[in-house]
Amino acid sequence: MLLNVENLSLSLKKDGSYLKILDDVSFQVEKGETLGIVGESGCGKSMTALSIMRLLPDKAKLEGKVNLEKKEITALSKKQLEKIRGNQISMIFQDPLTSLNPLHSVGKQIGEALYLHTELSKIERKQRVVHLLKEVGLPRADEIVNEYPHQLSGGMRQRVMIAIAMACNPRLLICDEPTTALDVTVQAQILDLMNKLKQMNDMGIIMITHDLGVVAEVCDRVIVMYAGKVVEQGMAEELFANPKHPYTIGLMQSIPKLGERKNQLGSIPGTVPSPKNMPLGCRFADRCNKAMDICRGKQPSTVEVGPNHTAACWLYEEKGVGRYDASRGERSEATFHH
Amino acid sequence: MVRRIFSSPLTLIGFILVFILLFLAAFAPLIATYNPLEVNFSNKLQPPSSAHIFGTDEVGRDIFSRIVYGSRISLKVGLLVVVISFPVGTMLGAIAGYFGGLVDQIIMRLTDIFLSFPGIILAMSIAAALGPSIENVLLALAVVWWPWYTRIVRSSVLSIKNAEFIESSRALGAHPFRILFKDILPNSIAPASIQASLDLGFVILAAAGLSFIGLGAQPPSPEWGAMLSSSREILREAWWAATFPGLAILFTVLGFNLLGDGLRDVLDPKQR
Repeated sequence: MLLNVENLSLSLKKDGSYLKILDDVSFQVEKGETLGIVGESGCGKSMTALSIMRLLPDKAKLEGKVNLEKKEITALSKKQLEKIRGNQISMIFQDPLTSLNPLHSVGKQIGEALYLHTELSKIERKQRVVHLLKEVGLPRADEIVNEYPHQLSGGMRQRVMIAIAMACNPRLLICDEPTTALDVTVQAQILDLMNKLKQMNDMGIIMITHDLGVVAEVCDRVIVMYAGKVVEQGMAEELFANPKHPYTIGLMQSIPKLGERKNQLGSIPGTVPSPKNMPLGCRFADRCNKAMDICRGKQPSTVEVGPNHTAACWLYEEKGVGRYDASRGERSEATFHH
Repeated sequence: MVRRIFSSPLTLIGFILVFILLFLAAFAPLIATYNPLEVNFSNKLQPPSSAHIFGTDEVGRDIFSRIVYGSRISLKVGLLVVVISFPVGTMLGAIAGYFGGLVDQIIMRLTDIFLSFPGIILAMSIAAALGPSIENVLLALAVVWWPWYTRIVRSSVLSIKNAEFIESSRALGAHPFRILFKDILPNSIAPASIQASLDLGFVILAAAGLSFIGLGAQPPSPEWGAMLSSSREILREAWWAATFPGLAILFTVLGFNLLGDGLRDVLDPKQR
């Protein structure tokens, strides 16, 4: 196992009180696997990525464990973290237009990663930079080394970002909506490139996106997040063919399909609850068309709904176990306390 | 870039004025026709003529030569004040903006205290306390000048520190100080450096002002403000004695301002 995230919770301080942004998030990434994290804006998917990198504000409270191979990231000091970032875990950000420093040449910015994490000499670094530029499919690598970000197109800049991320052969690559700012044909090229690099280096990828098309194209496994919690996880094909959680089903219905004409796309009514007043029970209950009484009273636990496929929803809870029963008030009362 | 700077005629004028000043200061002994300190009572208060193109003052010194030598003093004061206060102000502003919190509070309240006094009055009291001399004026002006740079740099650091490329630098494992010096400062220094180029003129003006009221350069020195001061009583008999030093100050300040404005048009990304 490459990455193991166990019971990760994150609270951020706002206006004097802590707000829980992530609640009990667990997942794994294997070597050579691409894990998709999907969910709408504000569901905590980017925060999950930043928590793995521990790129959090000073006042953030992080609980739980993150292990990269045998190393526990959550227990490392700031100095040790700096050694891991950009070296064993790299990150690619959403907007390649603003993710590059406008004042430094492309070569210098790629070389920076090598300068920070390797013992290579200046000449060796330069050779490696040119090699990386070729590897990410940029033409005229020898010239681009000396060019500045504003001289490159969006797709080229994202390739440069990938080159920076790949400079030290990371074990894990975290991509935070890497293709959102690019047009569709460039998107496909970038995704292909990432797949190619993944196979070459046997690394794991976490692909954060709200674009289910991207997920279908590149991800092996998917986790669906809602309001800071993982609501469903499974293999990509299985999840697309057989979504279980009402939220996942809603998401699937909200993508247009080719060859099918509808006057209106499916949408999920309501909005995400604010972390200030999270409901006691299932967080999706207020927007769910299948909500039952118990959904509002008690949080569902994660249950197996298929091969390698889990969902956190009362619909799939085993009959009799944890089922809400109005006549046996004491049971539900006892569980209210945690 | 050079082409763009000079595409505006005003900037070109500013550049020419500043260039003339630099030229005068650099080659003063060659340009000046007389010794600026040489007293010649038989020749006093001569109006401008071919022998003394700006005339002579109340003790018969050649005003043109004095203005030429005075450019050295003004330039020295202007440059040194900016050279001292700019790095100090910039560093404090960058630290305040980048680290925030208590550090920010302490630095910014300190600059508030300095800014709450009119600069020239604070400089006056410092210069008066240290004793009148051009070196003390220089020191006094440097002490009151840095808070401006602190404010400017802090605000541009604040706007740049959440940029995605800063985040990606952090994700790359760079140490905070490395990020501050390699990513944040270079990207936030342009507005402050424009201010510095404008300030050269203002510092020269302030130094001349302090000399005018007797806190700066002392009499025989050909400082422009001091020249103005000693000739103000004879303005009615000898207009040239006060007019030419005054014009020298005017064109110097004008030159730096026009040049600074031109630089802003080219350097400030917000104006593009």
